[in-house]
Amino acid sequence: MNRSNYISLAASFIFLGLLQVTVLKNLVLGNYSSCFIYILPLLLIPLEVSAIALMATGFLYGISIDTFYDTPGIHAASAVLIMYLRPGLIRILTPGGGYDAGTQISAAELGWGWVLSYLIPLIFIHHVALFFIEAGNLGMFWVTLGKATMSSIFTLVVSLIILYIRMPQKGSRL
Amino acid sequence: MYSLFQFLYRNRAFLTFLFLEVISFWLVLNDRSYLGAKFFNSSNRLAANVLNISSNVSDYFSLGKVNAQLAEENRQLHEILLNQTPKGIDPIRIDSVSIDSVNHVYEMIAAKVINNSTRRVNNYLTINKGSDDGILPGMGVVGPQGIVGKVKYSSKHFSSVISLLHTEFLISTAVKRNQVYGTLRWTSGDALYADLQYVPRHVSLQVGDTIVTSGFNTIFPEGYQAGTISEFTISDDATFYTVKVKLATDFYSLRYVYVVKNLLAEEKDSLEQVTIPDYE
Repeated sequence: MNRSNYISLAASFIFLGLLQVTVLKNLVLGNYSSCFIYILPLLLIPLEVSAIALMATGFLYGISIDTFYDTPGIHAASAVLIMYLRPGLIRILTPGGGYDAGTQISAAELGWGWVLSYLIPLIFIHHVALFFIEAGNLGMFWVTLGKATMSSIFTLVVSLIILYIRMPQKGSRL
Repeated sequence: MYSLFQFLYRNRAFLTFLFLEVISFWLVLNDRSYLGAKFFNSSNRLAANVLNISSNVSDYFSLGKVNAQLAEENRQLHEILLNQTPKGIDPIRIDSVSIDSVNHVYEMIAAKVINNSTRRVNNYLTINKGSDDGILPGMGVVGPQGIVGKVKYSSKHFSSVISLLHTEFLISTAVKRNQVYGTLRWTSGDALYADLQYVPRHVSLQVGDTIVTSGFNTIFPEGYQAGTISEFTISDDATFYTVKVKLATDFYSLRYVYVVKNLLAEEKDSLEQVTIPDYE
């Protein structure tokens, strides 16, 4: 992982964060499905970053989103949760030969199967935590779970589109 | 001692996780905490400026609708003005006699909505006026069509407002026709409807009855439009009606609001604080 990768990661934090709080915040499909694409950069942080740094990033980023949403703590709690679970999931998904040093989280290096089995659980857990903490109780369990599921699909589709666009074209890789 | 440090070091990831989650949940539960009030709300300068820029852009897409809303509001005000002026008497002389410090109870501050949510369980707005314009937490906010919410925090140039679409925001209201009191409360879901609670079964209600704010709160002026009854039911063993109210304010198209400053609020509240404990 070299410096330019970190710069582009920082840029995607800022860009997707701003996109979230200015545009996507007001976009709800069918009163059920919202997109929380801001978590994608958190999921793309390089593998070598330590668990504590992951959680600290998740917390600071989540609390910034909370500030715009007027929901102190909700996004922070959900982001810290998936950042805590991330290293364990990556260990479970270790491919046959293990990860090479400097492997990046991308479809080009790890394949779409890996990317899907990595994104789906984390996005879903994040959204379930988010909607249930927001609801504050289990009173409307199925409605809340429905919202979380529909939103997970929305976020997943947008994430896959972004990952696909960012994938280097064949032959142009170094 | 060494083994303690070793234990802490070995579980550092989990302990960090616990620590950060405790802070997060503390912020969630202490909605009114100092940190929440000081930094983590949308009236914070950085957040409000970003929201302001984005609202300046999106404003262009709703100019027509805003104009129609303001024209309709002007029409209503003209109508009131026309009906209040007795024919043949110079209105200026009457005004100059009747205006005194007791009649002048409310002041209004116009503000633009730069951020608004309608689909969450508890919704908030951000407006572009703050403590420099005289806005203080606790003041009521009304829109062109009806009541909107209550100021929660205000920074120098921005304020964040608890929307009527907040499940813990209760408003004392009355049915305009027969002055029956009830509590207006939004119970999440549809941003067009709220519930009117605690209306006793002995009163008569009609679909279409207007619900207005009662004089029991110091936030809103008495008689301000809140909504109309769209349907009501009562089961045989219930004490209170279940009333569904169509809200007067269309939260989807809300662009401009007025913050209500009750010049006598402090006096009324402090009087009630002194008096009420004597009864209990």
